[in-house]
Amino acid sequence: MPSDKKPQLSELMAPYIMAGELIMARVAGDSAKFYDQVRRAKEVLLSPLETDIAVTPYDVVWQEDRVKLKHYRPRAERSLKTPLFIVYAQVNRETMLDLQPGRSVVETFLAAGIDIYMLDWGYPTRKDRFLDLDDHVNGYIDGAVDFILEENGLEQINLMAICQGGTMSVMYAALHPEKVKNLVLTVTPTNFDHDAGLLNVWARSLDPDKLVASYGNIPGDIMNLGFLLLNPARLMIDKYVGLMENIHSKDFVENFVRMERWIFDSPDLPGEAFRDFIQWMFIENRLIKNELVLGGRKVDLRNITMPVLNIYGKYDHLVPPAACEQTTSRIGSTDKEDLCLDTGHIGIYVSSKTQRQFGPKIIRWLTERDESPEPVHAEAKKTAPKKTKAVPAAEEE
Amino acid sequence: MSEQEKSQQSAQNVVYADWVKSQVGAWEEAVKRTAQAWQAPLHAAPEGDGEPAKQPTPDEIGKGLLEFFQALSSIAGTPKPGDFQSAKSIPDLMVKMLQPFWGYSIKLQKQWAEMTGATATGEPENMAEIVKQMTRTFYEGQAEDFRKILNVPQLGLNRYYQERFNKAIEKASDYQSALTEFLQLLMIPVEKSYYAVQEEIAKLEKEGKAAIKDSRGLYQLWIQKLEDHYMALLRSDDYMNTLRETLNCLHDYRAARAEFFMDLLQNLPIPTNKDMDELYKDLHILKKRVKELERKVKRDAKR
Repeated sequence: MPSDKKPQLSELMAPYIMAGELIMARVAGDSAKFYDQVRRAKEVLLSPLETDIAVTPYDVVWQEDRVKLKHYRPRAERSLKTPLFIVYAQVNRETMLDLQPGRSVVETFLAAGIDIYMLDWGYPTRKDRFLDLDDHVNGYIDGAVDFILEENGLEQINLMAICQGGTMSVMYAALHPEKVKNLVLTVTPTNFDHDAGLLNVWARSLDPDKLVASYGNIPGDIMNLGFLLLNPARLMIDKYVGLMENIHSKDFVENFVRMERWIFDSPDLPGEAFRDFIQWMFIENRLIKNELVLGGRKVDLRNITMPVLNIYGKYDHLVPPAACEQTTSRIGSTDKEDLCLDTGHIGIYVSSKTQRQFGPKIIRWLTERDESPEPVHAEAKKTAPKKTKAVPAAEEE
Repeated sequence: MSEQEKSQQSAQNVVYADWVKSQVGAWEEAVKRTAQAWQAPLHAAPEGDGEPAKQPTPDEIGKGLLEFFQALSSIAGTPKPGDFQSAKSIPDLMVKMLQPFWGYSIKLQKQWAEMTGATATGEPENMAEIVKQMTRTFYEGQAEDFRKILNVPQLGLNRYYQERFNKAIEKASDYQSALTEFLQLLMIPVEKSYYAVQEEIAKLEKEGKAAIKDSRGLYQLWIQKLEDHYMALLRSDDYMNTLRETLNCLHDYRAARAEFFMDLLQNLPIPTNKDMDELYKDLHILKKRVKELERKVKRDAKR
């Protein structure tokens, strides 16, 4: 910071003026380019845009309260005997797994002949504010699993989970190991005692009681504001500068709008479940320490004895590797694998590079374990998890 | 009316007329100055014989605004009570009622003047700090006077309603104060990144490396510096404490507001959040019990 003399108004405003000028210069460039850009932007924005998300057809086969179970039927001959049940987080929506044709995890699985069931948590209303973590794990998830098992005449399902949905699925697998044949965890935090991500630092300083008392359910917009503040420079400025630069490209605009639609489609979080999650996970870190009790039963990670594939992103700023990489060493399984991909939290599911690794890896891993008879039980000797480094997409294919 | 009374009234009218005239003059001057300050840049086109009109600098605009605010506050100078006995006249009452606000306005003007370098004193050297200090001046001033008024003991049948209303006002003010301070924190990286970019360019020049020539390169440098400064801020204790304080104030405000609205809704055929929450809780417990029973029946049927 310069100077002994008192700054004048123009000097005080200089940082803001410079910011504005740089953004404008970046967006507009020279005037000839700018007018051309405006003309082409007008053409793109006024033309019909395809921005629908989650267009793969499905049937709603089960519903309890607001929670629905979607069933996607495979496009190819069924390759796995065991259907795959996907549990997404309650923050944002499961539509991210089916963002658009060509960038859809659901599409990849269906093309490989996997029968998919996916939980849709719906949009909680004030009526749902008393639903706690136990209601979600032992209520809704278990209800949906029972339905799938009954409908398919099976004893076990394959369970794949995402982010906070993964944390709940780890709880579920520890409480109901007999119903889970294989467990695929993706960007799933189980260890919350680290400072690697801002989310952890902030969440630990929250007073969940006050937030729940104030709001009942925690508004999705508040959550989203929190996520935007994780990196305001990129998420609130640079991202939109990027849009303005590429506004002449219809493809770019369509993809951008799809992503925006997904990001800001944020259901509120049921108050009690939020309170439990912040207090027990972020503040007390109970899960990894085997200190969590749900529905009167202790959640012991050593009860997780089925094969486990644990995938996470090296550059994930929401669920950093420090939050995921302890899982496999704490569970009872002997068949377990960690896979760290060179990508971020969302990139795992939507980037074209990881699309070539992520889906095929899960399909192969599940296929290899589809025939194995019974899960290996806890008494089995503990082994170190297999560590897999992300391989270039070409090799993977 | 006696001759003496007539004469007294006439004297009062003269004083009042003078006062009104002075106030009107002050307002006219204030409005004129503001118009000049704001409109000057809009009329910056060359005038007359091609000689370009002098454009006011941002400092001059700021000075014009400052004078406007000072002129405004002079309106608060009411006639002395002895000048005429029309203390119950509407302008007088209004001026008296507005006195505390003018007081803060003057404080804020002084602070603004000091901070922007119009006078020789004052510490802050950036906008974020100015906003912070002005916010504090305003809300601490409020804390001193308005809070006392809001906390005057209420009496009688309506006391609880009035107390809840006052509490909601007080908490709204606390929340606004905390929120402004929080937002001010978010301004800091913008200012720091500006200086960081300047330093980086100077460093490159000193090292004899090619300076950044295009806006794209400069933008990339700035956005990177901005991101770095945000990352440092978002992990700082200052940020964490301010965030916590803002959320606490938000909670207190929402709770006070809910209590106030409950008073209103209870007099209307509309259920309050509290009523509905109690109902939802009962419903939740009942549903849980029904689900448990259903499972039990299912289990028994399988046996």
